[in-house]
Amino acid sequence: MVTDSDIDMEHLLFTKDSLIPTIAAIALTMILLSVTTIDFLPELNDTQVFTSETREWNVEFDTSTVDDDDDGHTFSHTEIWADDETKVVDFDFRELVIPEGKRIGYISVSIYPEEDTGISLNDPDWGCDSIGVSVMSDNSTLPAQWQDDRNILLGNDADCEVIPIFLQAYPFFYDDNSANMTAKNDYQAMIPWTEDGWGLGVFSLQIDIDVQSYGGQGVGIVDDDEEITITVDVVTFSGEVVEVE
Amino acid sequence: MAPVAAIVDLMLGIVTLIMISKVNNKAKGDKIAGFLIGWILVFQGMEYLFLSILEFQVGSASLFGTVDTSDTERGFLLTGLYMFQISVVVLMSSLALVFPFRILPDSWDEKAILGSVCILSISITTIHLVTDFDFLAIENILMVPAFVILISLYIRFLTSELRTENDSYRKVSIASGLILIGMFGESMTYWLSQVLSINDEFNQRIAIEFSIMPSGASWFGMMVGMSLGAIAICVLFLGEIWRSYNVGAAPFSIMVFVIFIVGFIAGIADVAVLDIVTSCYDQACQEFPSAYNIWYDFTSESLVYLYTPILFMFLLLKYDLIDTQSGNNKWLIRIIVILLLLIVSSTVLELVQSFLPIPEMISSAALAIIVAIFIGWEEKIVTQLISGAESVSHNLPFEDGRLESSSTVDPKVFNLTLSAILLYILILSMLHSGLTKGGL
Repeated sequence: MVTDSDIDMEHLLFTKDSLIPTIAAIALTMILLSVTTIDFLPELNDTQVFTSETREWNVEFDTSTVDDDDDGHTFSHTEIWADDETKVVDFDFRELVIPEGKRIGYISVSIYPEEDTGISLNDPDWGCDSIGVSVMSDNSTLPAQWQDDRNILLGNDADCEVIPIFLQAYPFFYDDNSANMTAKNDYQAMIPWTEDGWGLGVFSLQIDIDVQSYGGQGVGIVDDDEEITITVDVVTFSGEVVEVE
Repeated sequence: MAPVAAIVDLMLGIVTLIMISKVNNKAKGDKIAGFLIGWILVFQGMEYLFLSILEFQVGSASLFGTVDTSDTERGFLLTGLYMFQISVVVLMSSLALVFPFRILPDSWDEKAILGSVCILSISITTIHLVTDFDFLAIENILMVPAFVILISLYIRFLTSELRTENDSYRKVSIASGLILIGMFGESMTYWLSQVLSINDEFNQRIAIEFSIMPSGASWFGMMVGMSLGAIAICVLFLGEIWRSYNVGAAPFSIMVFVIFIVGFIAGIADVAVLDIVTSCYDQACQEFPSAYNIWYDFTSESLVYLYTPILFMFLLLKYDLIDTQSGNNKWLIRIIVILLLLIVSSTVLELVQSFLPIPEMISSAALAIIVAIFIGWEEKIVTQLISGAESVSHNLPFEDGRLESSSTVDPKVFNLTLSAILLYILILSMLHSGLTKGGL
């Protein structure tokens, strides 16, 4: 081993003093390289599987109706309409208490007329009031699938029947039970079902009534108004993802 | 920053080659080192040039696998980019064999070094090409011998300096340290992340985000580069702490401390964003906070793109690898120094402007002030830089004079050989992308 006062080519890289720290530095490098290599192997395997495969997932939905006051519906509204009267009824869904993890899937509305039958025994529909319902999309502020084929945004009845109205709020939430997804992981499979904001806003219904006041000869019933009950069911859902084997 | 780096590297590389070709009285090792540094800068410049064009066309993701390689032009650019990148690693690895000292026996003259550089560059780039660059980064293994040599030289001459109190030894430890920073600068800024072994999470994110099928060889190559950089900066830091305690801090010590602290802060930042990093695997890829990106731009990226060419310029001037005293060279050096400083200052100003709402008038004024300072002090800066310029082996007590043996290096042979490699890369990239309709 050379001293510090001279340098020869055979001992250019080391002296007695530098040998131990140099060996320590190289040994540390080897240790660090070994540790990081051992550490990345499982990660590498996971990444190779992740990038090469796209797995199948089944998202199972749990649906429920928002019902804050335990009456079986989200909103229940009864009001009297005069003959030929048109009224707009607004329901504000922003005030609803939606459970954590749930999102609004669709809105189902039923309009119940006061009478459930006409005045004639021979023709039960005769004498029923005429009711027209339309969802006012211009007035409604809630984000929803307004162009969806399943929507029922208009309804008419003169047969004392319940008028159904339907609005699809969440995109593609068509099946109440489950949906098949292709995704890299469970989180990505759930991404289409975790969008916030759908269905939160004001839902506006316009109802007009034409009261059938003539009760018929000898019956003597004169009807000049109609009591309407509107029930609104805001159906929410949450999903649970299961890998399809 | 890639376009700026491309201009700086190409300009500095070409000027270095012009100046070194004129020099005859240099030690053989110094001359070969000068040629290697010049060509490293040219190849790096070409790499950044291709990168800049790709970034301009498809955005910063061009670094990875998202480039549409069915397009012939983009296939050519990406193939060329990778091949230049590999050649730079080969050239960098061979630099440690000749600078600070020639490690190889005297009989291994420049032709042997040139031959091995040539064979390695051509064979490794070709192997990568035929394997579709699936094992890219495995060539980092070539840097292991260079790392061992440079770390050994740094420790050996640092201990010798402190034991004998001979200042001449300091030149060698600084030169070794600067080349280590030039080679592993970027990975040095990730040293804490490597020690904490979280860099593989970043590799995973890149693979998932850009749909690249990762290979074990490629990841191992990356880990080699990262580990060498991490240990290199830790050794430099401990060495400089020890030296500062005994002798006092020097500008090189401060530079090492800054890189070490940057790496420490970057490690903490990496731990802080680890959930975002792993989000690609666990959930879906989330964007990094803008503060994290700004930090990365100002540290790792600017170290690679802006400071590495300046570092090489410092090596060339301070260690007299080019003839700094020649009248013909002096004016060229002055132009290069002022131009480099201005390009870097204006880029840093642009970077600052990208996130601070500074009106353009203020930044223009700041640039004008910098220009005025550089023009006013230009002579002083250059004179100071080259006044103490001397060969790294000058004044060192060598037993034999072999290290200072006069050069017989023929500039034509060196330049022709490396130009041929450059041409080979261009032609092969063109052919590959053309024949395979886009290449990769």
